[in-house]
Amino acid sequence: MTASELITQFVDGELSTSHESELFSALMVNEDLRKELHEQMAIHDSVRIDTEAFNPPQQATRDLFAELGFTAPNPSFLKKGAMAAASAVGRFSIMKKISIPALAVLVSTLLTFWASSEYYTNKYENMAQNNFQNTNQKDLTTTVSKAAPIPVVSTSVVEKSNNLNNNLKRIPKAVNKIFAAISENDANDNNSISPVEASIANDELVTNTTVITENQNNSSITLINSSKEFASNIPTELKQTNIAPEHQFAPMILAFNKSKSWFVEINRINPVYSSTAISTPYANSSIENISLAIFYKVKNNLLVGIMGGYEAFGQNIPVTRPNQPVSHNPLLAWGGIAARYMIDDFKFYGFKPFAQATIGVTGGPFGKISGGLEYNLFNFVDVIGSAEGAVLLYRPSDKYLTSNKIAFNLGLNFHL
Amino acid sequence: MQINFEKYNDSELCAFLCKGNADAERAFAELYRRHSPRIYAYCRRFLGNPQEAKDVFQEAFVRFYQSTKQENRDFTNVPGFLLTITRNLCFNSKRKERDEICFEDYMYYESDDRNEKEELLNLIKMALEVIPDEYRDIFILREYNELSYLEIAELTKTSISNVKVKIHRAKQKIREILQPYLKEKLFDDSKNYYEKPL
Repeated sequence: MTASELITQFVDGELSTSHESELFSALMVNEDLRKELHEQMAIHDSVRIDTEAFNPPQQATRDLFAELGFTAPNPSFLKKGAMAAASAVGRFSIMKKISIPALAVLVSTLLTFWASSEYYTNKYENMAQNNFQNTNQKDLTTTVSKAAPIPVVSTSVVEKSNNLNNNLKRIPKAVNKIFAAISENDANDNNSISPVEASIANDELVTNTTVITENQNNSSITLINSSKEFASNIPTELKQTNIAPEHQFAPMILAFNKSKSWFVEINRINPVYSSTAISTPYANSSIENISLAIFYKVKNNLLVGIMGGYEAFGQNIPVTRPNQPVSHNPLLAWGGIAARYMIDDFKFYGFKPFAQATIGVTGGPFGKISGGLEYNLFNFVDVIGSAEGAVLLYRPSDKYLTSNKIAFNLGLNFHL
Repeated sequence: MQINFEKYNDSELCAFLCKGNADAERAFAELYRRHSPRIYAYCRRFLGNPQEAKDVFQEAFVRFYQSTKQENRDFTNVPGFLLTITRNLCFNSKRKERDEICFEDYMYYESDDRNEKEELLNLIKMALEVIPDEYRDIFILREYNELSYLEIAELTKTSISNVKVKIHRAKQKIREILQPYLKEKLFDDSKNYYEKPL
């Protein structure tokens, strides 16, 4: 089969995948073939607008129905068919191409959110069950209170019981000694419990462990830290809120206050697999395959934002003529919206998992589903590593083509 | 109660036609609505002459209707059956009036062009007039009726490889005819889409 025949079949959508590679290789090195492809596509596209051919004259319809002894139908009834046929020539194949990737994107997005929802539902159900069991256990408060009548961890009555039980489990036996010391200190000095900032600032006051307690004269929760190291590890956000790290809402509050609501993210996209599509050597290798995003935190775990990228879709054909200037650029610029769901309180060595769905447009619609890990490098910078699957429809010269791709991304997320 | 004929497939509508009552009329109207645009497109582009196309188009549907009266006829592929009738009529019509060129059509083609695509479309219509019938036939089946190579092979009773060759030749012939225009419009204006990302 000649390359010219391959072009004809490609334009007709009849070229097999195995022959596509052959065609792309030929296109890459042969300027005349690229011209022929363009010409064939131009002819193909022009036929699509030939609506006049799809509208039988009304007189023909009337004559035909009269000949058969029927009453001619209303022109508006027939118009529906004519319009459908005319548009189908141009759009039916396009709709077919759009519907499958669009459905895949939709299903993947729904699955992502369903999985997240399930995770949290189970998590909170378990939590509620544990709390229920704890409240039915023997009241540990009484036991501990004998040794140290001070500890109370929340201003809320309900929280007192639950949190106390949870937190007391973490308190080592040595705490009792500290309680005793504090009690003695209380007796000597009425200024018994320092507010959190004071105690952190004055690390000399405490010795070896952490105690959660309540300032009797002040309803706010206070923290006494026994270790300089621990004190320095307390997140700034918690220091500001006077919330103990052990507090059940601390992770949430920390997440809320960790940064402002806006993030800027830049990603380097590294394609590892791509389905075949028209592609020629790259022109601007320095800026290819990047994406830029601005996210806004709408909920604790949910970020939404706008994204844009400049990346190669389709098969990556290596440059076979390195000594010749490459003038063609197959990269596509795209823009879209993205939603990222962070699984905030599940961490693996500091890595937080997330799932993301992106939909957007280039010459046609495209969708991406990605999942990855985020690691907080500094206070305002996260490192992002993710794997993504993308389905794209694009339209060079009014011809819709599809491409699927899998890529690994590496990026930085800046908290504004 | 009126029947909604839109929900029936072609075979079921053909069954209504056999009955020959008021439902038959509505069933025929539904079949006509579904298939007349593509049948007319074939006639219009194959024959070129609008009057001739209209006559053949009408005749095709009359023959189709008469066929539905015949017992034991299988109507699993109504568009294919209609296209077969239409193609036969078109080829017969062409044989009768070979080499006639309709002046009216050329006047139509030279009407004001709104854009380049329409300009190119008009040239394609002219090119279709010039190429041999067998190539015009296969080009229209592919481009206007959007039949796959397999469907074309079944309709024309040839092999797929033969269809591939014919379609390629048909397109090459049209390209050759349009070459001066394509060269001027598509490439002199530096419109090669490879050179700019979308």
